[in-house]
Amino acid sequence: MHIPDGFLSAPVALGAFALSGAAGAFAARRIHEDFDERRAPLLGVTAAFVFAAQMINFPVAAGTSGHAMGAAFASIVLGPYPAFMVMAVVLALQALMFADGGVTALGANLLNMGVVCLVLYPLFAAARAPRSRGALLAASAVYAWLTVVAAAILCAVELWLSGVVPLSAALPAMAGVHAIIGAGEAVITAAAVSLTLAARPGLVNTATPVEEGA
Amino acid sequence: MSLWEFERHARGASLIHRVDARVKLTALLFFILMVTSLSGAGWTMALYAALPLLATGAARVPLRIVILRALAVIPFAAMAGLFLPFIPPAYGDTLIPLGPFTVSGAGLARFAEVTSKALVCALCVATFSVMTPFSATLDALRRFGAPPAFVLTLSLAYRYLFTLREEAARMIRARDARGYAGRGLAAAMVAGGMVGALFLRTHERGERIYQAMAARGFTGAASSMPSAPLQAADWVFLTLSAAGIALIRIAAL
Repeated sequence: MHIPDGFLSAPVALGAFALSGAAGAFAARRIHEDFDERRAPLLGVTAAFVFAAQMINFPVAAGTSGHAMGAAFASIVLGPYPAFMVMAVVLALQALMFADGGVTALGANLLNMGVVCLVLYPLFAAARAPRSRGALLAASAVYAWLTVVAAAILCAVELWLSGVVPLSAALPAMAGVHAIIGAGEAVITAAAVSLTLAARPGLVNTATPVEEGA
Repeated sequence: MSLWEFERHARGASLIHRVDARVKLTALLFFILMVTSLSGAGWTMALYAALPLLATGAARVPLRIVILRALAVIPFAAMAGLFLPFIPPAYGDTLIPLGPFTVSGAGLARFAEVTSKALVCALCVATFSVMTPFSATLDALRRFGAPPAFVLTLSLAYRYLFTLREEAARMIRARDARGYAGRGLAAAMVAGGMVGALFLRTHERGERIYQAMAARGFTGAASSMPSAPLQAADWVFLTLSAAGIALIRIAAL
């Protein structure tokens, strides 16, 4: 759900830019904790990966299909700060080259899809603290679900503050629909993390590695 | 779609094509700020829509290409439109029958306003992106002082976007060719496995790219040729477009 230009009022758009900008400055300072900056090429390719992963769809029911969003997965494998940069690059590229998401709504879209992952990350880190494979997969699923639902709620609130939709209808509808979409994202994220863990365990968030044989 | 196809109309001999990307980017931002700051839709929006269409015509780029790229806003607008019947009418509001529903006149007007703004802005972004090579856009961002690490990441993301989309399309084709017909949870888990596999391939590719770049002396920042100073034609384009955008905005006051 990329908000286009025109849907947000000036105070909402500017406020979102301020929040996302602050988060970006914070992430830029902390990125060295997770990532060697000389390896920026890896971030670029991962941003391209997020685009490509969104093509992988699966049938849900009644002719509808779901697809991965990838923001939570990027946070899990790269760590929260590099993943935030990846999302900023993805959204900037979509806004400038694909007219997907507005230029003036970039702050809001980054808030919904980037800052949310950053803010919820400590929850994920706490949930995976037992360092077992099960805890990691469960934490990944819950984290992915939460990021999707939180993004939908934020989107509804931003549109309501801008006077485009009534909150009483938009909030339950957006949260309800995304509770289901988020379940798909949870399964995809857990399955993707599980495969990554099996093939290259070292790639999954090197800060807190899974113990051998756990 | 390959990068070559995506940028098929980005390089050309027309006057529009030759305008410096810094100038085009400035005009684009000014356009979007002016359009989004309007209140109400109507003839001003039609006039604004005419500007990118005029540029497309002047550059002799097929209009279809630009319009197709601008249609990315439609799903979001449709989603917002679903909430129309739930907007409570204000006092003295006109009620408009819309199929089985009755919607608030003020709500409908507001929806028409934001949707037309979104479309007109997307039309301008599409015009810009169809007629500007991304390398020129990156250079413009660099000149405007965007952080070098961000611009570098952006350039690699764009460069590998098409490669990885082809890789993902191959994986999807392989799944479908084997007649996979799962749905629900099983299908989501298969999709998740594909996402994981794509990430592993991406990561390996990223390592290779990094090593190749490091072997060629990459130390964390890409260097580029300094771009040429703005030409007289650039200033003419900047003045004309800014004047056009501002005139419509003033006429709308």
